[in-house]
Amino acid sequence: MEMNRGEEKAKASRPWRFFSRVFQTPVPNPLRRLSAGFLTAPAAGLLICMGLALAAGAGPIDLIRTIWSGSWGSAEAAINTLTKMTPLLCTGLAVALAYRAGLLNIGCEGQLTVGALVSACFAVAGSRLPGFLLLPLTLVCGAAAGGLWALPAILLRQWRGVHEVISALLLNYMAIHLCSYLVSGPFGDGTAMGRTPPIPAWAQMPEVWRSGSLFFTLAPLIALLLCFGAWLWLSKTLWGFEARSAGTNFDAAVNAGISASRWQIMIFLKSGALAGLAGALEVCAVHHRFYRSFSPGYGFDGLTAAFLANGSPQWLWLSTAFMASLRSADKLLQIGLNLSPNFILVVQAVLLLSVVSQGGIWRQIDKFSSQARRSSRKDDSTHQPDRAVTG
Amino acid sequence: MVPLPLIEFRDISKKFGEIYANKGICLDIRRGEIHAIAGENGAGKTTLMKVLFGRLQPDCGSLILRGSAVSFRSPREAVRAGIGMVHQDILFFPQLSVLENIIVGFEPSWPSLGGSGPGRGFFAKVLRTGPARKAIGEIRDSLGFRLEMDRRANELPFASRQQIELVRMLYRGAEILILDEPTSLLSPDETEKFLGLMKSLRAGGRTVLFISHRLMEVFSVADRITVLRRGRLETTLDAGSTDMEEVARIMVDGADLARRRPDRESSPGSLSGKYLIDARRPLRPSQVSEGLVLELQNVSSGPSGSEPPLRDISISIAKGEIFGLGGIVGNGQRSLARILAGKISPDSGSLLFRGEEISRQGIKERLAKNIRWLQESPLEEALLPESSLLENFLLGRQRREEFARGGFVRRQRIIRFSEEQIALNDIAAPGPLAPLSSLSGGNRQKLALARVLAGAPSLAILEQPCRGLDLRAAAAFHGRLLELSRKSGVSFILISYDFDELLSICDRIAVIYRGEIMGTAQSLNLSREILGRWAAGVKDTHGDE
Repeated sequence: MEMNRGEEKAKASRPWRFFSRVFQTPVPNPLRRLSAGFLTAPAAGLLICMGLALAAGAGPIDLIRTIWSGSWGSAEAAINTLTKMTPLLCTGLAVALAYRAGLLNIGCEGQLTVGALVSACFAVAGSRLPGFLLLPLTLVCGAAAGGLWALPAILLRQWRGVHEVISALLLNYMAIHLCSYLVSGPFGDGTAMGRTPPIPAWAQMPEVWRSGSLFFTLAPLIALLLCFGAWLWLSKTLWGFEARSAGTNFDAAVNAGISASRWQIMIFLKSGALAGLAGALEVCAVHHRFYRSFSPGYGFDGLTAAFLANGSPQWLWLSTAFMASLRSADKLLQIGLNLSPNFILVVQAVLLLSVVSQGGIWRQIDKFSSQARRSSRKDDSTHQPDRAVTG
Repeated sequence: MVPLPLIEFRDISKKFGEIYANKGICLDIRRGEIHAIAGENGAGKTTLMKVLFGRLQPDCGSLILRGSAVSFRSPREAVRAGIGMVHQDILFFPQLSVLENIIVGFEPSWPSLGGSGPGRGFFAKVLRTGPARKAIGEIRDSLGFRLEMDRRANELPFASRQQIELVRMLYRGAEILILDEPTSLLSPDETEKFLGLMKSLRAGGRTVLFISHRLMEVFSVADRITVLRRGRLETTLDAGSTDMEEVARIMVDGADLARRRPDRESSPGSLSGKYLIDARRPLRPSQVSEGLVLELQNVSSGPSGSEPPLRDISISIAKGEIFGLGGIVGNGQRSLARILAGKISPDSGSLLFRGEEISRQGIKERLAKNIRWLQESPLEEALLPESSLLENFLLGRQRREEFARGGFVRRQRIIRFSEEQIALNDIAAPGPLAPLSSLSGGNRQKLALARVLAGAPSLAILEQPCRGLDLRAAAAFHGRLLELSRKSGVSFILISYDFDELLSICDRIAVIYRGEIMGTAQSLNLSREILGRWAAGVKDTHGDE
């Protein structure tokens, strides 16, 4: 019986096979699966938002059109969105990496703030250094500072059994207030603005493309490259495998001779370093200085981005693009549709919730791809049970 | 007249991926009987019971309970209908006390003040343990268990966890009890007691569904026996009108084939005889002269968990020897295995591996010396339940040159290795990319064993290796054990509660009692009686070393 099904599948023509694979259903009844499948929640979220827009006096279609044109509709908008994506990619990756090793790094906000301040101060103090040295060193300093800020949390966990969520959360507040003090006093620029002096021009992130006043820098590319590297490391290397094993079953990892606690410490430090790097990139590529209340919650948004991507670095670009699109469309929504900023926050929240409530749309994508892999080896798998029992 | 059945399975089917775990099962369970469900590993026994208990939903078919159709969407609903299940891999809360583990999900509260109905009102959310403690105490005493209710659950040995689960189900008023391989981790004595317990449950008017592949146990208690094979129901027989031979034959070959060969006498060697290995033979002098692989000298350690401290353990294992360690659960076997594997280090004494002191070396160093360890509950201690079979095979081998080059995992090689091992060990799995959670309990055990035995270790410490394996798989494993020890010179330490297993396969056997070795002898000179006496703490003169 099972084999018949397998043969049927193999006989089906190629596009239909693809279709049934993607929608995980036999061909005759695709719509049922599609509607019960992975588009329901986002579609429902969109419908709710359209209803809300109608109630607020804006056209429902206009709402969607405006979100699109505000985020990706023009070169300016797209660059704006990419810029907003960059720190989210880094903090999202920080959270995802720690998550795969069985840890929750909720302290990205603090690590990002510390990383930003330290990198800004380093760039200002080291202005004598040549550009090719100053910029990389600035980024490294930011990352190192973020890593150091994560150190107490993970050491407390390993030595004293303090849950890293609590200590990292408390470290966030310490970081934010400490940096805000430092920037108003010792490291300030002398004004009452609560900011550091600007970093020298040769510490700024080089531009990749410029047309008139529009330009974008190397920073998003660095962040994307990091995500790619993390994916490669986690899924293809033995170190990534060891770290993941420590995350899935700590005992089993230890019994297999893996230094599971050491991996957890190292991954948590790397996670902190990534968050610190997010701050350094913001300083070097966007603001060119550090100022009080520097981050609009990038650290916490990273948490959302990572869970939206189900902890997989390879899907972070999608989840952060989604979040950044909503963020960067808000001005146009305000001006173009005359909606209040609060309404925009509601729309963002509803759309985010709808995607999150899907329970991991990205998990389904993963499932598709693994199924595709499996069905390419289908011949082995369908015969396996028979052989196993009679053999 | 046949009385109305208590439970009816009507055409139940359940599919996992492409494989039918259950196909078209029709089965009646009568009130007040012990109904055994027998079958080999992966025959679909556990799946069928999980369907009854609401853990799984059938793809098609229906369940009739007491004459009316039911469909349980969760175990909670099944419990409300008076069904209780004791799982093979017992799920419990390690950090809670025994009492809390029993009442969890069914917490008694104070009578409501100002509200109506249970669970409402002012005090309704405040835990009230007094009456529950009394009621549970009564159930416990009636079963003859010795459970301290305020102990933490993770300090208890496996047998006690099982008792917790059983008391829990009875406390919730279960009339139908599903016991999934309840005896697989029990010592012979405990098994005997447990079977007696099942009879007394039946006498108390309860209906028991007993999943097992141990036919001896099945025949000593069951009224009727249902045999599953490859997801289908082969037959249901009255225990009185059949025998072990027939059931074993049906389990392996199916009812049709078994019926077609009724001339049992003429077939050379009975089936159960075919699977019985007697490999005992005296240790050759050459084996001893080849040198000792492992030598323990006066190893002592503190108490760990519920186990007593180890006192002055001295044993030695020769190359290619199968050394059995018997005894009743919780007498220090677990601690000793952990010391041997390098998970904990002893307080005093020395461990010599081929003459080298290793007592301060960790698991990693010992793995590098090819000392491997099969844990008592692999699912918790050795496997990655959510990962693929591939990654489970890789775990512990990821640093080897053959599986990783320049830090990158050699995927093709590990796939080939997994496929080889799946075929070699007869693991029923869709393929190396399937998740481990899609495997049945017995097949997970086969995988854990395969990982330990692959590539001939120098020394393997096996805790309860036959746990959950059926007759054929256990025989295949024993054959493999013998081959590895004779041909490749692998030494084994086999920790088992089953004296018959130890007697049939081991070269020498030691018995541990309260952290002390009561005696060590060549198994040819031993019998169940001597081992039983040692296990009960009676020292005598049979030890020849």
